[in-house]
Amino acid sequence: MKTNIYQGIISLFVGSVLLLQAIISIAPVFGGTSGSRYWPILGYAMYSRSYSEGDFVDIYRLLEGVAEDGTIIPIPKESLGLHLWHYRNLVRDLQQGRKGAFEHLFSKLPPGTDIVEIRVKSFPVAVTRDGPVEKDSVVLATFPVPNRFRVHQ
Amino acid sequence: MSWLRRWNDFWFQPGHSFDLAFIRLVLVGLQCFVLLSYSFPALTYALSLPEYLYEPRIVTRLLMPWAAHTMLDSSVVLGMFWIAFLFGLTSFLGLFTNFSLLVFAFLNILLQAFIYSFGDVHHPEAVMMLALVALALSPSGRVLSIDAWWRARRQRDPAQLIPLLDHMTQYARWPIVFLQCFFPLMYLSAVVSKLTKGGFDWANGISLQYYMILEAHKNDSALALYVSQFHYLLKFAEYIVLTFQATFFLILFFPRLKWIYLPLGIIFHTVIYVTLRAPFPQWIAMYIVYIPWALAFTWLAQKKVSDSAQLSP
Repeated sequence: MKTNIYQGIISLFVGSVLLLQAIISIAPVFGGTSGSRYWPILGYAMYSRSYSEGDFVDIYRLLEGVAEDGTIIPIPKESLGLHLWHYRNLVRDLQQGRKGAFEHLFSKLPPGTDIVEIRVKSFPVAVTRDGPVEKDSVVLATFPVPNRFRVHQ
Repeated sequence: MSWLRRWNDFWFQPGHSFDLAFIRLVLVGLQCFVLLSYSFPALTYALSLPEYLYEPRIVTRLLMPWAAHTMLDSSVVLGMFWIAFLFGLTSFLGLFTNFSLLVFAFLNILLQAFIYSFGDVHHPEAVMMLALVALALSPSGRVLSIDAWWRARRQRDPAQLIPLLDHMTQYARWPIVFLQCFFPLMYLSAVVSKLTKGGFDWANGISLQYYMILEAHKNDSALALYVSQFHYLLKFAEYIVLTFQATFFLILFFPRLKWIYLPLGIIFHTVIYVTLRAPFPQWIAMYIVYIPWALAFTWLAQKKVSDSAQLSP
C-alpha cells in the first residue's frame, strides 16, 4: 500500500513535468508561445531569432528626454540605477504607458528636470558579415510626458 | 503486459545508491555555491527594484498565496536565503537528507521565483530546481551521508553490511532517468524555437554574429567582439548547434552516443560561457546523470597496473 502511494506520487511528478515540458517545447510548432509563465517549466528560446545583414543590434534602446526649449537630456541606464534587462523593460513599459513606469523614471531624475517628450532610440551598432559597424541611432518612438510629471505646466 | 506494469518497470527498477548520492553531492554542492555567488547579489538587486515591476510568478502564488499581491519584505527574503543555505549544507552532508532536501528545494524555488518576478527570466536554473525536488523525493541519502553512517553504526551484524558500490535501492534509478529524459526536451525546445522563428535562415551566419556583438556590448566581452568578425566560422557553428540540439534525444536510445554528445555539450556550453558570458554551470554539472558512476568506479578499482617501475634502478 505504502509502495503504491509512493509510486503514484512519483509517477504523477515525473509524468506531469515531462508532459508539460514536452507541450511547451513543441508549442511554437502549433503557433503557441514558449514563454516562462509556468517557470520552472519553460521554453528554451535562447538566441532563437534570426537576423539579416544591416540589422541594428538591439542591445537595448536608448532613452532621451526633450526639454521645452529642445535641449536633449540623455537618460542612460546608469542614471536610473538599473541593470540592462530592467532598463530594457522600463523602456518597453514607458512605451506601453504601464502604470508606475513614469513614476519610477521621474523619481530617479534630478529634481526639477522638466521634460516635455521622451524619445526611444536604437542602439547605434549594426551587424555585417565583417562584424559590427557603427550606425547612426534612429528615433524609434516618441511620446509626450503626462502633465502630472511636468515641472512647469 | 499492462501499461501500468510497463510504466512501473521502466521507472522503478533498482539502481545503484552510489550514483544517486553522488549526483546529490555534486548538485547540492553546486547550488550552495550558486546561492552565494549569484543568488545573493541577485536578491539584493531585486529588493532594490520598484514595486510596480513586481509580478509574482505562478509558482510563488501556488506555494505562497499570501505573497501573491504584496512584495515580500527584505528581511523575509534574506531570512529565507540563509535558511536555504543552512539546509543546503545539511542536504550536502546527508543529515535528515530527505527533509533537508525538501526544505532546500522549496526555498530555492521561492527565492529564484522572487528574482524572476520583475519581468526578467533566464534559463539555467529551472532544471536545477526540478532536480532538487527529484532528489528530495528519492533515497538520495541512502549512502554517502551522515544518515547512512548512523544506520551503519547501528547495524550489529557485519553480514548485513555490503560494499558501497554494490548497494542497490529500488527507487534510486527514477530521478536519474527523469533528468536524462528532461535534457532532450530542453534542447528540443531550443531548436524548435529557432526553426519556428526564422526557419533554417537562423543558420545564415549573421544570427550568431549578431548575438556575439550583442553580448560583447552587454557583457564587455572582447572575445565575443573578435569572434563576431568570422562569418563562415559562425555559420558552421550554427549548423553544429542545430544538429546537436535536434538530435540530443538519441542519447536515450543509443547510450554509447554519450561519448560524443557529452563532450560536445561541455564544449558547447563552455564556448557559450567564454564568448557570450552566458553561464550554464548547472547544465554542465547535470550531465553526470548520464554516467553510471558506481560501475565506472568499480571498473577503475579492478584495473591492474604494472609494478615494473619498482624493479628498475
